[in-house]
Amino acid sequence: MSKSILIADDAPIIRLMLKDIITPLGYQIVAEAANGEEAIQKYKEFKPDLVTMDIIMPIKNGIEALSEILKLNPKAKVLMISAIDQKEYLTKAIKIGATDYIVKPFEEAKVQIAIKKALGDHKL
Amino acid sequence: MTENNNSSNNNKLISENDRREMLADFLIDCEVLLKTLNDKLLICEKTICSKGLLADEDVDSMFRAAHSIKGAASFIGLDNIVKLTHEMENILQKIKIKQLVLDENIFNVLFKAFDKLDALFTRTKETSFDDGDIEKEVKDILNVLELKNSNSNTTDNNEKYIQQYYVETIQNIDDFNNQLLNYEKNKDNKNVIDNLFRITHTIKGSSGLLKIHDAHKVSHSMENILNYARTTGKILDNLYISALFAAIDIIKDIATSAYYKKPLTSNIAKIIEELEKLNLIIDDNTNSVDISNDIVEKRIAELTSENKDIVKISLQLEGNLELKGMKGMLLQEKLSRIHEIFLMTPTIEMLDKKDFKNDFTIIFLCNAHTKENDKASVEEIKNLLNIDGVTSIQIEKNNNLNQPYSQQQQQTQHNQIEISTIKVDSNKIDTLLNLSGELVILRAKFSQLLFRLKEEHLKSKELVNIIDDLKNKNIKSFDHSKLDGLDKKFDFKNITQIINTFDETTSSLGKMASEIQTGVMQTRMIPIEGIFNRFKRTVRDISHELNKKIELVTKGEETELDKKIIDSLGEPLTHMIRNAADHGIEDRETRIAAGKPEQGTIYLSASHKGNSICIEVADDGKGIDHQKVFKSAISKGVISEEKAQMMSKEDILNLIFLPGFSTANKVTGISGRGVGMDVVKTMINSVNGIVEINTEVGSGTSFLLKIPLTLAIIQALNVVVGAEVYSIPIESVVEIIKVHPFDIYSVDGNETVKLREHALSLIELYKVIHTKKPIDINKKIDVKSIVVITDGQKQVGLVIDDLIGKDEMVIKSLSEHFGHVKGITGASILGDGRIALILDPLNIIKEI
Repeated sequence: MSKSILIADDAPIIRLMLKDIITPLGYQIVAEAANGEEAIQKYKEFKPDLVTMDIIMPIKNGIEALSEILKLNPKAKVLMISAIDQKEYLTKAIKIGATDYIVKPFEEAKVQIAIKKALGDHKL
Repeated sequence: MTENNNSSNNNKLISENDRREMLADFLIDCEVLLKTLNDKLLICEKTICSKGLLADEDVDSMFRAAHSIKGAASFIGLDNIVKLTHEMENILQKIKIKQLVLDENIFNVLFKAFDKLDALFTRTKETSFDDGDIEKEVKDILNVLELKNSNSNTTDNNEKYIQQYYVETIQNIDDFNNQLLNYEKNKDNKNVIDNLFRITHTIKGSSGLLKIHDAHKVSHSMENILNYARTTGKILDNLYISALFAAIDIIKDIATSAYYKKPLTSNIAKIIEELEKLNLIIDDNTNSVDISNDIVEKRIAELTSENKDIVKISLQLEGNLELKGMKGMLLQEKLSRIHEIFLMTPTIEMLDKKDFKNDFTIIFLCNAHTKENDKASVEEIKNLLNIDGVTSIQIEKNNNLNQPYSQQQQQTQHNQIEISTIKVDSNKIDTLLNLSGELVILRAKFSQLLFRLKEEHLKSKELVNIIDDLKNKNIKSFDHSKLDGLDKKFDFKNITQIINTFDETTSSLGKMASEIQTGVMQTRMIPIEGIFNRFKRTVRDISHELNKKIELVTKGEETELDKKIIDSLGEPLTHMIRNAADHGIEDRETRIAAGKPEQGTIYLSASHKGNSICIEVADDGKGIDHQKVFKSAISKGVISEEKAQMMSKEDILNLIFLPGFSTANKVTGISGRGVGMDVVKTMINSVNGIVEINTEVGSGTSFLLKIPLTLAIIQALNVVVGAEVYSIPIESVVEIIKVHPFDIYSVDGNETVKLREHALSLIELYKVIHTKKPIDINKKIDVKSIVVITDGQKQVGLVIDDLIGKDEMVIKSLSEHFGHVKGITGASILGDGRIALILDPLNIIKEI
C-alpha cells in the first residue's frame, strides 16, 4: 500500500501545487485541509504517514495543529511549509517536534526529496 | 492549473502557459481577499470609534488575507505585490501583538496601501505583470513602523520594569567591566570569558524583553565575539577588548537614556559596525576547517578523558540552503531528543551569520548512549538526521576517534555557592527603618513613663507607711475595718512587682528596638566594592588616554555603608581620581627624572572609624604647591591679597574647594588640582561628610573623606540653647571647652577665643537660625560652654547653654512647608517627646 499524505494549507492554489508535486512520487493524498482545525480532524480520521503543514492558517494555525497532532501521535511526521520570514513560528515548530520544514517559494524537486526523506524513502 | 503541468521546466516551477492559468486563479482569489482587507479595516475603524476597542479576529483575518496574497504572488513572481503585502503583514502583525495602536494615520496608510494593491491587481489583469510604483506606500508603512520603534523603546507596560532593568543592567555592566579588566590581565582564564559571555547574554535577554532594541543589538554583537572566544578557546587581543569596553559603555548610555527618558547621544551604528567588522574576521576564522577541527579534537580529548562514550556525526549540507541556522537548530533539536549533545560546530548563530558559498559541514559530538541508555544505532541516527538539505551523513563511534590531545587542561569544576538574595524596593526598607526609629522613640517614652511611675510608687510607699502608722496607733474614733479593707484593695507588693516587670519589659523592648534598627540598617548596607571596582576601569581609560602608567590600588573594599551614600559617592570620587591621574601623577619622564618608579599609583581605601567611614584617595604624584595655589587665587581674584597674606598654608590649600577656583586653575595651567573640587565638597557635604586634604610637594596628595555610616540615624551631641534642644552630628564635633568671658576677644566684630595658640571664632546660634536672642542677665560673668565644630577645614566654637549628652538620633526630615532652613537639616524626637532640631554644622561654619 502506498504511503498516505495529508495536505494542510489555506490557499487552494498551494494545495493544488503540492498535489501535483507529490502525486508523481507514488504517494497517495488521502485528504486536504484548509485550516488547522480541519487538519487535526482529518489527521484523526485518516492517520496519514505524513502531513504537510502550512503555518499561517485560519481558526487554528499550523503550530497549534502540529502540537495537537503530536499529542495524538508523538511519532507523527509533519513537514512544515513556511515563508522565509516566519522564523519565530518555525523555531516554535522545531521545538515542538516538526519532522522537517521547507521554505516557500519552493522548487518542485526539492519538495519531492524533502517528502521522501521525511518518509524515510530517500537514503543517503 | 492543469494536470500536465508537472513536467515544467527544471527548477522553475511553472511554465508560461501554467503561469497564465494560475494568474487567472490568483486574480479571482485576490479579489475576494482584497475585499476582506477593505471590509475588515472598515469594521476596525468603526469599532475603534464606537468602543475604542479592536477585535483581534478582524486584524487576524486581515493578516491572513495579506499573507495569502503574498504567498500566491511570490509563486507567480509578482514582486511588487509581494513587497507591498509583506509590509502590510508587518504592520498588521505589530497591531496584532499590540505593539502598535491603530490610529487615524495608520488607517490612512493601510487604506492607501489597499488601493495601491487594487491598482496592481488591475494592472496584472491587463498586462499579467504587476509593475507600478509602490514606493510611496511602502515608505508610508515603514514610517509608521519606524515611528513606533523610535517611541516605543520603553513605553507602556515596560514602564513597570524599566527601573529594575536599569538597576540590573548597571550592575551587570559593572560586573562586565571588572571581568573584562581581569581578562585583560590574565587571558588564560576560561571562567572569565564564560562570565563575560553570561553577563552579556543576560543584558541581551532583558534588553530584548523590554524592547530596548539598541541595547539588544549591541549586546548581541558583543555576545558573538565572546561566544567565539568561549567556544574556540582563542584569545581576544586588545582590539577586541577595546571594542568590548566601548560597546559596554554604549549599553550603559542606552540603559541610562531609556531609564531617564533622555535622548541617546552615543553613536550606536558606529559601534555595531565596529563589532560586526570584528565578527567578520571571526567568521572567516571559524569557517576555516582547521579551527573547526581544532575545537572538535580538543573536545574529544576532554570527553574521552572523562570516560565518555562519544559519537561524532558529520553532516554535509547544501551551500545554497535558506535559513541555515534554522536547519542547524532542527538537527540539533532532533538529535538532542535522543542523545546528549556535547558539542555542535559551527553554532546556530554562526550558521546564520556566515555566507557559505559551498556545501558546509556541521559536526556534532554526542553521547553514544541514548537518553534511554541504549546503544545508538548508526542507522537510527542517519534516519533521524536525514532531512531536507542534508547531502551526506558520517558517523564515527568512540574507538574510531583518535586522541591526538593529551589532556592538559583539567576542567575546573566551579562549585558555585548560591547566596540567596532577594531584591527589595529601597522605599520599603526606608519605611521599615522609619518604623524602627519610631520604635526606638516609643521605647524612650516607655522609659520616661516608667520613671514617673517609679516616682509615684515612692509616693504611695509613703502612703502605705502612713496607713501602717495609723493601724499601729490605735486611734479610737477611727474605724479600723476601713483601713483593713483599703489594705486589701491596695496591694502594694503587687504594684511593686508590676513595676519591676514593667521595668524588665521596657528594657527588653529597648534591646529589641535597637536590634531591629541595626538589622534594618544592615539591609541598607552594601560593600563599597562595587563603586571601587568601577574606578579600575576609569583609571585604565585615563592612563591610556594620558599615556601614563598608573595603577589603582584599592583597600577595604568590603567596608559597608548605606546604599544611598554609596550612590552619591560615585561622582565625587570620579572627580578626585581623575584629578589624581590627570594632575597628580606626573608623566613618565618627570617621574623617572625625580627618581620615582615609572608607574604612578593611586590608592583608594575605605575603613571604619567609629560611626563614620573614612575614604582616602591618595596618589604618589607631585603634590600641591600651596604657593602656586596662592598666586593663582590672587590673580584670579578668588581672594584679596591682604586677606591672603594672613592665611595659613592649610587655609590656602582649602581654597581649591572654592567654586570658580577650578576654572582659574585650568586656564593658567597651574600644576595643582582643583578641577571640580568644589563639586566634590558640595556633594560630600550633602551626605553630612567632610573632606580633608594633606599634601606634600614632590611626594603626593591625599584627600580624606569622612562620611557618616548612614543617613537615617546619626550619632549626635544634644545640647540646649535658649529653650530648645539641638543635636550636633558627632562627626563635626571636635571638642567641648569652657571659656571664661574674660578670655573672649573681639576681632573684626567677631567674638574670638584663643585655643591652643589658634584663634577660634565663636558663634551664637540665634544669629544663624534667626531665633530670638535669649535674655540672659548673667551672661557677662558666667563661664560659657562651647562646642568646637569643624567642616574638615575650619573650626568654629558654638556657644551653648547646657549639655545633655551623646545619643543616637533618628533623623526626620523637615516637612516641605519649611523649605530650606539655614543651619538646620532635620529634626528628631527625644525620649521625653521633645523635639530636637538637628544642626547643620557645615552651614553654620559658612556663616563666619
